[in-house]
Amino acid sequence: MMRILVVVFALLTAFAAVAQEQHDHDHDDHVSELAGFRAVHAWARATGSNSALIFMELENGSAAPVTISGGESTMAASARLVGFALKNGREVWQDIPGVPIKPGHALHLEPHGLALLLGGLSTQLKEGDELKARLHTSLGDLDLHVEIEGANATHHSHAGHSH
Amino acid sequence: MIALWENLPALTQDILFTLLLLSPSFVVGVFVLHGYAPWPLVRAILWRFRGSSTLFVLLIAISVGMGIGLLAQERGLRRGTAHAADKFDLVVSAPGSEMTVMMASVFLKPSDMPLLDGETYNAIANHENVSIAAPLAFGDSYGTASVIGTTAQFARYLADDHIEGRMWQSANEALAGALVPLAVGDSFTPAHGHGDSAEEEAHEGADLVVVGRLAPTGTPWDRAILVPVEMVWTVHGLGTGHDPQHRDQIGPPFDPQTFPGTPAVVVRSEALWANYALRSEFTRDRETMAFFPGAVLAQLYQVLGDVRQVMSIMAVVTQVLVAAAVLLGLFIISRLFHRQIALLRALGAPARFVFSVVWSFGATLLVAGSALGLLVGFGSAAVLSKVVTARTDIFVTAPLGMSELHLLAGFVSITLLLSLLPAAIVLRQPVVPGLRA
Amino acid sequence: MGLPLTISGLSVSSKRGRLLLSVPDLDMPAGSLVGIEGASGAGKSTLLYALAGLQEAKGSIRWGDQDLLALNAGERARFRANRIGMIFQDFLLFEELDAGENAALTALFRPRRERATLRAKAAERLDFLGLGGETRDRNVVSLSGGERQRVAIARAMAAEAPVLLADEPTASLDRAAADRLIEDLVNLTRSSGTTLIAVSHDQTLISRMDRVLTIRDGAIVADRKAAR
Repeated sequence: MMRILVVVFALLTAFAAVAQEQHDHDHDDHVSELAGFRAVHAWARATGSNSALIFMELENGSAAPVTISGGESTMAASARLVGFALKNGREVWQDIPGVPIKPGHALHLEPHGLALLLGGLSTQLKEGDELKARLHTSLGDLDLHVEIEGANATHHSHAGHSH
Repeated sequence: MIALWENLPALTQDILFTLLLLSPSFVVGVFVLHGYAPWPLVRAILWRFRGSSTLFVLLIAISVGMGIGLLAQERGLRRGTAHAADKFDLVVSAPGSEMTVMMASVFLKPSDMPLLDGETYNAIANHENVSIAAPLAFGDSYGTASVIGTTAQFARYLADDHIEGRMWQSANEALAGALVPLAVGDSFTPAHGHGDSAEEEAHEGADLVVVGRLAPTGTPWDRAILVPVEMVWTVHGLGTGHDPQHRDQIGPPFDPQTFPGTPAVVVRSEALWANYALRSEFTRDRETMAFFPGAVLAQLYQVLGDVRQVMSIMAVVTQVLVAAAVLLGLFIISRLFHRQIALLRALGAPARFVFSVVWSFGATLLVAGSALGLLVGFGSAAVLSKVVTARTDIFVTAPLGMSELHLLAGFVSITLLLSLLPAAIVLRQPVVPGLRA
Repeated sequence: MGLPLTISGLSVSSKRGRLLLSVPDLDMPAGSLVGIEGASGAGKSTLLYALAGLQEAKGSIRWGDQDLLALNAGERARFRANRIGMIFQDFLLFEELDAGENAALTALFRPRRERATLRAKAAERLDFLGLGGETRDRNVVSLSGGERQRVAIARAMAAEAPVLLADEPTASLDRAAADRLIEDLVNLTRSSGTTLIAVSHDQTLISRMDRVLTIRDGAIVADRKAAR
């Protein structure tokens, strides 16, 4: 009887561990981290044009200020850090050389705010796909797993979850 | 090819696109007119039916003019409202509707809003990247002018430091916006509230002197009277926002304990990136909300953008319908000159020549109507702009843009193609009855 | 020089199938002046317009060696432009244009290289008809009926067409103007050898023709040759 209970307990623990691992794996898709500096919920809209904006939430959990300055992607010719502005009633994206983030602070790259602008995309972005990109930071490059959302999305489909 | 197109300057692209839209007309024109000289006859027919021709040209001109005038106006309004928000990089308020806060701060249409307390204000004002953090105090008026309490720094920033007279130095001095009917040296007593419900006597004794006038900004702020925020707080019995030792101080820093609260703080930062960082910084659940008025307007324009497309389509459809009615009219007129048509055919004129005469007649009316429509559009947009500017104080100019030219070019092409139809029908009319009528 | 006419088995029917005109055989030598008379609705004008290729018809209408009815619409138009001049009872001028422009009207749809020649020829015709000089630049509205019809003759003969078809050319004119016009018409066609076929009630005109056909109920019932 005792043996059976032990086996059942062991099995349950194993299942739980596997399940936990599975969940952690899911998290890897939404979170990337570099020495405490994290990028969460990177996403972009599905598009057929040759440019796209990548949005994300950045959290500086390290002990020093971190500056982000741009990025790169194997699927795009360029990846610039840009900020939204309204000029003469038209939406424009102006180049931002770099934004420092203090320790313990967060920075949101979001629609009508900051974004990473991909230029010269080599493929169409389809909803549900994932795009690989890297964010240039003063700590080094941070890998991004960019979730492709609908063409009219305004946020990441997991936004609001805490990781 | 696409890469080549994208490398062209925008103006070149626009001109090329206009020509592309017009190209069907050119092609049709060349095909129809090649080798013939129909103009003396077209002139003769135009002159004979000058009354109807003028009427048709006017009809086309009005429909075209209204269409492009409205579209130009829509863009002008977009530009004007965007310009009104230019000085408002970032606004921080208590959480709520961004639209409500924007209407209050940018367009001076305040409604009841929760207040930010002194500690929050100080956190914003003392932030290392913030160069201006202006509190706003609404609620009073003088005549049609809103009386708004704020800081001297913000008043200077708003007018790009162009102030006729001088900056206020005490709590009972004021700056008048460019459109306020008060001169430097005039004094007034603000009323509590706005319009008919304003209580004239509420602030009895609070006499203010205008010491300066702000340069025109083309925004609703031109019709505002700016006063030290301490003065608004004081007349409402809320204190001065300063501790008792500094009770006569004007402007920041404010004492967080006695700060009466502000519905919104207009934030400006010298560094371009800092606005974006500050927005993240001051977006805090249940505490503060930070937003770019430009972004709120952009979202609004996206909705309006769809409306604009619908409007464009409706404008084109209306114009084409008017043009179709005109062409039907042309067809009826062409029955009036069917004797001349029959004569030409009896004299051995090729079908294409007769066709070119009828088509050129219609084309002349359409092109003349469109050209005149451009003027009507220009005029109607200018008049509408004046009306909107007068009613909202948002400075709106609506010069005709390339998109209106594109619309017009498309219209000309479609209708010139459509006018092939009556020309073809005229050719099918029998000759002999025409000769003997 | 004029063109000879040979008609065989010509019939013209209305859209509903009623026979309007039937001419089994008719020959006219080049340069003849032929009058066509008959009551209203007898088929005179139907014959005239059939000869211009303006009526749908069966059979053959041969001008020289060209069968008009074998040509398509475009070819008939070209044939009319080069070979047939026409004048009408009420002139059919463009009232907004001057006499010279009306006489040279067909230049507008001719190849560019022929336009100057045609304009010169039209001016020459106007001169001959007494409408030269400043009259040529006058708006046709200011001209008398007789003058207007002479402008129409100049227009019809500007291209030196070998055939001239006239539909009641004097019916809108007073006697004096009609007499003058008949004189001009006969002189011009005779001197140039043009074949003239004129539908008319005007006995003065009819009496100047080489041959007179009488039409009744769509058939030629009399064919008189003038005794000359």
